[in-house]
Amino acid sequence: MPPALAELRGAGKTYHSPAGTVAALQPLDWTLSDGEFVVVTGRSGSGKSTLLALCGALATPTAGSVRLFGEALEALNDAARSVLRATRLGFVFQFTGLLPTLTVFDNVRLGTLFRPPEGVAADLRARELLQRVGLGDRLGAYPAELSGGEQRRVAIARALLGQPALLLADEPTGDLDNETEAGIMALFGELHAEGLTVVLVTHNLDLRRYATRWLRLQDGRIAEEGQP
Amino acid sequence: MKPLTPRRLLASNLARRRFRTTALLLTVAVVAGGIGLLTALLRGMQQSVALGTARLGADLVVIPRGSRAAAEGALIVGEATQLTMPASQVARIAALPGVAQASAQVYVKTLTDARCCPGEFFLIGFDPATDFSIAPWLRQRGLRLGSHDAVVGDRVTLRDGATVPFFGTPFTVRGHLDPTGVGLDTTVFLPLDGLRDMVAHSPQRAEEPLEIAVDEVSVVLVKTAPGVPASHVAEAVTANLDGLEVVLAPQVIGAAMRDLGGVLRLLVLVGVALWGVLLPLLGTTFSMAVAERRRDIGVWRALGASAGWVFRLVLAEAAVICGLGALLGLAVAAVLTTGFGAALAAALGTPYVWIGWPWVIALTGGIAGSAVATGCLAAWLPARAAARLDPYECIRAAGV
Repeated sequence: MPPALAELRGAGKTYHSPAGTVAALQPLDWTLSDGEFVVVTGRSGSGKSTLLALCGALATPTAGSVRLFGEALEALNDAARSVLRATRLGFVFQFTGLLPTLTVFDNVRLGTLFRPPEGVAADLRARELLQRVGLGDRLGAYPAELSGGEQRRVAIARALLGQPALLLADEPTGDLDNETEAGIMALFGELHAEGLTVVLVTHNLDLRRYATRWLRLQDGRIAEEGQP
Repeated sequence: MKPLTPRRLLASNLARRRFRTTALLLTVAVVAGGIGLLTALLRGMQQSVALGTARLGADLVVIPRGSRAAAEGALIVGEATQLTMPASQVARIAALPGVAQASAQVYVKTLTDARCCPGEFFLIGFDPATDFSIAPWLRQRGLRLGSHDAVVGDRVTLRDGATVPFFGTPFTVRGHLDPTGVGLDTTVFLPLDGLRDMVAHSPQRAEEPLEIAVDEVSVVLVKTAPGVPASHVAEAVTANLDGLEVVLAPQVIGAAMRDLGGVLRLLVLVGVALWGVLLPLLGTTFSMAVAERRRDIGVWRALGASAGWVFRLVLAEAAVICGLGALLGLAVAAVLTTGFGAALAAALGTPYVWIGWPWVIALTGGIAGSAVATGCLAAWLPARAAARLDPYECIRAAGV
């Protein structure tokens, strides 16, 4: 049995907005094991992004507990959670969040600001990753000079630079055409094949075919779970 | 490729909103530069008054009644003038209780466009036997003046060692006095013997003869005895001697800056008030910047930035904008005071002396430091708000 990377025990999340209190995720039990590729689907507001945020130490549960890499998330302070994100987790979002005034190469290296200095090793790895995502010749380009698909690939390279054990992707192929989406998903498939654990949140049910396991969330609960 | 550092990220953030960054920078520059310029001018004026008063060496100046404006003009801006009072008054003044020293001076205005003079100068004849204004400076430099030697103010363009005729009588320049910023800087000082000789021979040597009688002097500088207030001696002069009035030395030197100094002080206060307005302006601007960058903050937090790091970054941006803005404004202020301070003061008819590099450095450090502190203070709440943003909420707000 592979070790658990994330364990949710009665973990739930409510948040407050001017409209009132919203239960984004009902208390649930769920385990993510090392080496899995999990695709989480569901409608908007079903709680899939909240599940991703809890697995990525971007949020703490308001009920129950979440253990990441064996550590209880609730017991970690902000600095410790930040270290966890910087060193063991990688994120890809639908919006790339690339800084327009930095080159592709610098955008990929952004995470190095939050990790202990690695010197040229990080630069070499950034070059390799950009090469791997097909942008080895665009190091000096600025995000505005890239297509949407290319920007997404830069964001993936950025997420991988810290050599994470778990890659969390939230709608990484949203707004992309079919061909570009296939390319991005093929890349995720390759990364998973190399041993990276992936959790991918999407509206697109077709993407479940890339997974080793899928979940469907509804109203903050796991409505369905299966394997392709 | 250059390494990516927090400094480069900071520069990149500032570059993203060029207009806003530039507008903030210029606002800070104008306020800081304005305060710097006015403070430097005020300080230069005060320093000049202090130097001028020290150079004059007198606690009070006795002048012919009704000649206050002319005397102030002579002492403040070196405006050549001719005043006369009987020389017999000198002994009477010296005999008044509370007077420690009294020394007469004779004012002479040279001719314009005359062969007998090298240009238009304000000549002051002093009595080496009783003088306490130029004498200390001469003693300090080990100089003994002959009757036809001269010492000149800092802004007099005659070379040391040059022999120049005044009303046809040659005088040799023996030295330049240190700058004071007041009229003494444009004055030529001659021993009274030499000046009397010049007056006596002017009918033969000059285009126009000088009409100053041997028994006339222009003003009498008075030093009071230790512990005696200058005002007491002034009262004694006006009570006992007819046709004379008294100006206290700091008053006469500072007369020109009294009104202007008040205006400048008011402007400095306005500047400080503007500084107060800067605080909420910067605070609001940085709050807007944080609101705009929620998505970036979410990404940075996802990549591993701690709340403290976000707080420091926002604060650093404010500090850099305010620090650079202040330095820019102060650089312009330094150029203006160094290059045009004296001309500006001359145009305003006020004494002024350049404040010197130690003051410039202290002023720059003080104002730039205050600007940085103001920036940090203004950005404190927005930075704290940025640090407290829930990364998950930030990313959700971005439409994920």
